[in-house]
Amino acid sequence: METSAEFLTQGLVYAGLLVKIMLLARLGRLGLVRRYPVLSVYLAFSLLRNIAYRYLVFTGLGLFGRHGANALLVYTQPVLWVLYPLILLELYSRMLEEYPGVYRLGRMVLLGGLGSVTALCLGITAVAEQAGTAATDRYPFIAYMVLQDRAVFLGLSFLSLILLVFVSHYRLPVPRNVWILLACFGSYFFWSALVGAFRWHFGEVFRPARNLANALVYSLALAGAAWRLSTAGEEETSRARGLAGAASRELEAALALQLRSFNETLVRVLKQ
Amino acid sequence: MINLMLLVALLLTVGVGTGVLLWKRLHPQAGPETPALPDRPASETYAPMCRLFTADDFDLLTAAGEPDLAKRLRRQRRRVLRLYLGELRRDFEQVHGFCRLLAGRSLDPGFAPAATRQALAFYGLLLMVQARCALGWWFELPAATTELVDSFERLCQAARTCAAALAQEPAAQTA
Repeated sequence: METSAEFLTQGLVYAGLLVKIMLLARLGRLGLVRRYPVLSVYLAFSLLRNIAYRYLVFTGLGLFGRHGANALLVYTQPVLWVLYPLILLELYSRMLEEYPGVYRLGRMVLLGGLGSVTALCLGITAVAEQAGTAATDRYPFIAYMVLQDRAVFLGLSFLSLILLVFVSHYRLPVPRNVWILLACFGSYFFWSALVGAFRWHFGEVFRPARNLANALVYSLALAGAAWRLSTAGEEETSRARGLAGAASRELEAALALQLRSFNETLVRVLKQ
Repeated sequence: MINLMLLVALLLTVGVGTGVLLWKRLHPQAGPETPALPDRPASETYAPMCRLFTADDFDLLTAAGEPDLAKRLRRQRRRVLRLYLGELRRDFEQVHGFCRLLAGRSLDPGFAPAATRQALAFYGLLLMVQARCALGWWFELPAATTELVDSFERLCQAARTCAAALAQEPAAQTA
């Protein structure tokens, strides 16, 4: 049973690699690499990291005097932790770039949100470290990495929610591609945080299930993005267009009302 | 185990919140109300509310040796004040909704933060007035209600200025 789960996980990891290549190629073909530079850098970096990892696993080479594949994962993981929030910042910039009226407020909300989320995650991590876990990990360092990973994904989930709340509050029409990327990466962040919480609690026993679930959701998220991204998606606002249209009509009606009332007042004043 | 449950509950809240927002965003409800600014100045509309707890009436009754009547009057006016506050909050929400629509269109980067500051100030004041009303601290209520109405009026003024600038924009582009 365990062997079949491992086999499935391996299959999904390779599928994830393939989907990553597809997404990168699609971004390039649609001319979106310049529009989403951080996302492209992330995909390229992650792809190279995965290939290097596979190579080190097959050859058994060492790195910095350690087991090569593990050392690579540990040393490059912080780069991914930095790139994930940068992807969110990039999506946020794409959301607000056409709305100078809310850009400044958006930046304030984003920085405030980032600060609060970081403080919250640090607090939760500190409590978790203090309380410890009932489960045992063969390597305490791995348990520490799992905890940090969970904190990062928890923070990213919160940040995605904050961005969504802000954009919904101001009812801004957002390009469809941005929605797609936010939905795909947001669901991956959320899922990773959830699975990471179980992994930290149940320890190494949960590792195969976590690897399988993560590989599945990651592949699905990337596949969704690769499937739905389009050039037209940069202009369209998807189904949210209905809302944007409604908002626009509301605004037009309200402005017309304001002007009419202003004109009526002006006429009254002139008559007097 | 409690830590895990709390964390999972927190995450599920985030997940459900995100899901609901995305769903609402992608499936908008038809026919939202058309927002509008009030025709009359708020200070005029809500002038009776600001006068509800001025000392004159109560001083008069107390001086006339009718403290019970003064108490009854206070109770009645408190009910009236609550009705006024509810009405004021509804009006404010409508104007704030209008401001949010304007913010997306406006080119002024200062408008959205200013409207948000006004909204926060308004809700803070409203909370304070409601607390005073509930606790029976009448003395500074007239000043607090006047400040509340002024806060509403400032938001209306900001919205009018922004709407006027937006209305002139297409004309300027055409010219």
